[in-house]
Amino acid sequence: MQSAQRELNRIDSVTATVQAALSPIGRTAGNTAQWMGDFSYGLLYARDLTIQNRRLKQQAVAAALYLEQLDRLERQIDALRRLQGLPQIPGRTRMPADIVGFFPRDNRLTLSLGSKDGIKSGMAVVSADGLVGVVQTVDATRCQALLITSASIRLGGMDISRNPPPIGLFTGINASTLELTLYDPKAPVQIGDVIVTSGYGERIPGGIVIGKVIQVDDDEEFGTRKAMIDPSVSMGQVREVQILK
Amino acid sequence: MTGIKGLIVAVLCLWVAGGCQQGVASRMAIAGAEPDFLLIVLSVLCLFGNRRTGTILGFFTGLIQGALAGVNLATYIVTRTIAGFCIGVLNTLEFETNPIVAFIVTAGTTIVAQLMLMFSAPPSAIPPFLLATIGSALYNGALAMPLHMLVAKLLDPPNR
Repeated sequence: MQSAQRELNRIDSVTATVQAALSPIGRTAGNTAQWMGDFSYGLLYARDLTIQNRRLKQQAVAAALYLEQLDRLERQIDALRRLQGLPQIPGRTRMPADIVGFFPRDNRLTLSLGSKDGIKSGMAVVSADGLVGVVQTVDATRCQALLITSASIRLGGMDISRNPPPIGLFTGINASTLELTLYDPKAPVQIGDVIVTSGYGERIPGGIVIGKVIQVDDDEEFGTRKAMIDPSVSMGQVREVQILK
Repeated sequence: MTGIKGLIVAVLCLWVAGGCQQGVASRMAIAGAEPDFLLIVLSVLCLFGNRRTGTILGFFTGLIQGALAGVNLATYIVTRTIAGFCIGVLNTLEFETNPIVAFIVTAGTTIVAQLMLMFSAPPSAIPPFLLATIGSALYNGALAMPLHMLVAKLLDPPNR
């Protein structure tokens, strides 16, 4: 029942009932743990935090000016695309979401937004460091995302450190490694190259950082080149995410 | 563990454990090892029950765990039910439960349950999974000791 509903990108009734019943205690426990962690960190690093806060305020002022300019340019691009009859680029609206549950063994996150907020399966989940995962199942008030470290995920990635950027499909190998299979077996990918999303999908915009190449392997038998990627997001450390609508 | 009192304690423990599993477990990770609150509660409660109690508790533990994860519901139910039944069988032997026994049983249950899970729903990388399982087993064992003391105060001595 769970698998059948998941294939339809929905959450089954048993899962939804159990999650709803546990949600209040889970949220309270999570918030309490967060508060205790923040409080003890604040006590230990009060001086550093004050200095950091001052710097961040200055940076926020500079960022506001930059974002204003970026917003204006994006509006211009949208207007030009409309004139050309091209579809809108996905992922323009960022919806902040709370992580309600994290299940590393199953490579899944439960997030606090659902279909009521306009969330659909296939949308990208990002953090400040890069791509975290992709929304898989959606309920009215919450959704579950599959992490990029999952072996079930297949997404387009490209190496922006090369020109023209080599393209391929990546999948998760384990919690700290992804594998990018390149379409071109002679693609000039090197260690240290930055891999981002290709943007060729319907709902995942291009340019979201996935990680850095840590190893390049050639499979002469099959004539393929594979790049191992260290994900830029440390999955266990993620606390806040955004869903790109 | 019988009667209304036992039922209330079991429901309450599973509810709180499920909530903690959802919201706190990942924040409490030490060197990649996370506690599994539901397995801790299952192991400790089963020490105060029999085979039937263990099986029922195992079923609901698996149901909660599978529902929270959103995948492998049947696998979680089967592995946890077997684990609960096994502790119930173990509990029919004549021994006195104490926090040390709770540590050993919880650590053992974690290893057995996770190994069954590994064979029925293989993870993408097995060596890290096994290392994390050993870490979790020790972590769970340590957390089971205070829970055992609390539950022992709340419930009557085991009815064998």
